[in-house]
Amino acid sequence: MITRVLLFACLLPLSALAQLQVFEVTGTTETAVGALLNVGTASPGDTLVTHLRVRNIGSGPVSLSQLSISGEGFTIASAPSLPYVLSPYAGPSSEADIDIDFAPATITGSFSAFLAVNSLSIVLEGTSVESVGVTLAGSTASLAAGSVVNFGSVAVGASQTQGFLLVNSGSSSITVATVTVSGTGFSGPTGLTLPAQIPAGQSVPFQVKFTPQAGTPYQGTLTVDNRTFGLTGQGLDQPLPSASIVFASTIGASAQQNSVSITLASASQVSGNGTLVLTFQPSVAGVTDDAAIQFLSGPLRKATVSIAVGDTTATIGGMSSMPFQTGTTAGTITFTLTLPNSTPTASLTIPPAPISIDTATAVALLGSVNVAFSGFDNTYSASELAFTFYDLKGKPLSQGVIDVNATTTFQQYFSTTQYGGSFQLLAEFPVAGDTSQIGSVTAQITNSLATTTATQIPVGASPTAPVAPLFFKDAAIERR
Amino acid sequence: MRLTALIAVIGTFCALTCVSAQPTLAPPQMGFVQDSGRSVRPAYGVAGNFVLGPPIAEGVVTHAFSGSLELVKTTSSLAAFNSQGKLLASVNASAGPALFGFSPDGTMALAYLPSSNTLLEWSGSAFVPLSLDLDQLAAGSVLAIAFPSQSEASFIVERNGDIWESALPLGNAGAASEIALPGVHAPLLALPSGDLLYTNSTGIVIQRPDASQVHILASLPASLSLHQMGADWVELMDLKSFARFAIRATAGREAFYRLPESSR
Repeated sequence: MITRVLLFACLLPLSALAQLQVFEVTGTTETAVGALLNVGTASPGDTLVTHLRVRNIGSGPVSLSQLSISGEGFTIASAPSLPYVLSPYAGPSSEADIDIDFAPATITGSFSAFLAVNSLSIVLEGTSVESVGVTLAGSTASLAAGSVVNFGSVAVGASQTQGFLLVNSGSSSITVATVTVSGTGFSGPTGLTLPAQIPAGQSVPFQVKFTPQAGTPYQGTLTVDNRTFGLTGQGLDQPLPSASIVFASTIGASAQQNSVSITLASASQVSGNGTLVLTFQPSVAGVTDDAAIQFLSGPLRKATVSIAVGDTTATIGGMSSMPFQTGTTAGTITFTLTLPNSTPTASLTIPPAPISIDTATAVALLGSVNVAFSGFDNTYSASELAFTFYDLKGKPLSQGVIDVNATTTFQQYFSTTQYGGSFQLLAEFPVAGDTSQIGSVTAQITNSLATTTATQIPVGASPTAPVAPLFFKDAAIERR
Repeated sequence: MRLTALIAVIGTFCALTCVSAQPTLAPPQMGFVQDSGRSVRPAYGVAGNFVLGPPIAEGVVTHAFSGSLELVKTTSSLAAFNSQGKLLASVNASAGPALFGFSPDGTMALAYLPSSNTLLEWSGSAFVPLSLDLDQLAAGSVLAIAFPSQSEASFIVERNGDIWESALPLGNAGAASEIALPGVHAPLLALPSGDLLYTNSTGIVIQRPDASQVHILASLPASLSLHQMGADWVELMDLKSFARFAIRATAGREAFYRLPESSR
């Protein structure tokens, strides 16, 4: 087919060719076009645009009256309305620009077409090759080569990451040798190892980041083997809206699960990102931290904050609010939000509190009663314990209150524990008598603020304890 | 007379031991949880304040902890650990998950392996296969098991969209029985206390043995599973994310918490 068209072109009279000259325009470079123009390579689904410029190189005006193309895969994408009078060349005003699209169908191989510009005839040649498809993450539509991906408006200093997929929808494996990103403000690809062999039906993700440094438009290029895609973005000097850190509950207390969110003063006109960092300053002397004070999702104390155009609430770690727990140590939890244009902070004070008892159990064993309770002391100052035992009728046993000064024991425990002010206490009381006659126990524990009482803890029978001898009818309790 | 004798005994012992009495302190352990990396870790702390410890088992398919006994099913084994995370025993087991049911005191347990339709008992020192006619369960899908007494195993089965609780005698005595559990939905969990825990559109339902119900409002993941993580605690696992939650089933203290993520 190419040979036949070439022969036809050669038969045209030279005088008809003399007035007009066709140039191929690549960027700012013009190259005179002869009888044959190879537009290059495209893949099925792609559109390869060739920019042509027609110029009158004669001495008198010429009417451009014929402009046509025939041949599979080629179309005229844009051209001036005909007839179009071209003056003798004296600058851009005496030119006509024509865009030719080469969009091969699914067939792989060579394509050609005949372009007629008045009496000029040019053979266009292009090649179709199989290649991997490129899609945006979350989309199934393949990007045509030459198409442009817009990263949108991004605040200066912030960044916007766009995910892509290399998709092999063919029936055999494809190897992608090179993927490059060029252009100021654009970086990547990340998340991709090259060369990437992509089996039939499989896809491989990668990311490109846009980080404007000025409030100007940005352009870049993504190249996947021999195919290129435009990248654009707009840097915005416009700041993000004022951000506020908001707690679901403003009541500071230990052993709470709270959440933090970030609200914006208005809908954001730009996208941006930052970090939210949690720090803790204990108010307990000698204590440096409480590991339990942490975010409950993602990294322990540092979360990524993202703001999209139109957002009135930032996302934290991908969520509208970030849950956190307040630990078991008195002090101040501070959240610092770092955005490109501001660094707001908010604090939640965890005040010192009386000891909190979470669970309390008492078990009668052969010859002893074990009293256990778990809880926390966010002041790390637990000291006195007091136990009062009762018989099955609720009457206090005659030995009265059993006091224990556990100050040293608690201090030793708190100086080594990695679990904040939480503790599990086990007190074992030898009993001379029938432990089954003990009905309940009241436990008191004191710290620097107050005394906490667990009232009338029922004394249950141990499932594994031996049965008490029958001759011990009465109960007596002591502490060990 | 009895009172007089008691006082004498108390006086003697107090005089000997009051001065040296000291309690024992340790980090409070709430149970064991399975993280998103398929490891089982101890969970320390108090309600609303959880800290995860280092893993005791990895490659875990399912697990449960009674408060004193941790049972772990991996791809190819069934193992028992004590509350300190020490391995007590392990046996080969067919692939797939296991369902666990603990005795009321938490020291004994049953493990049901759906893939092989077999039942094993943890006797305190070893896993013992039980000879039990489980064919009648084949018509349905076993959702949970319970071990209400040493003479009975309880299977909660979904059959034709309805939930049934089938009690099968262990040993020669007794007869099989079955009752319907209307209004109960899968996934569900039978606790040693006799509580039945399941979810609905508004959150979590705890159905007590007396048929009373406690509802805990919670925003739950679309796909979840339930596992006993402690004596009164249930772990709720989001099967499509890293998120893990803890449900407190203690009467009067029912609550829903988020657990820290450990794979980070």
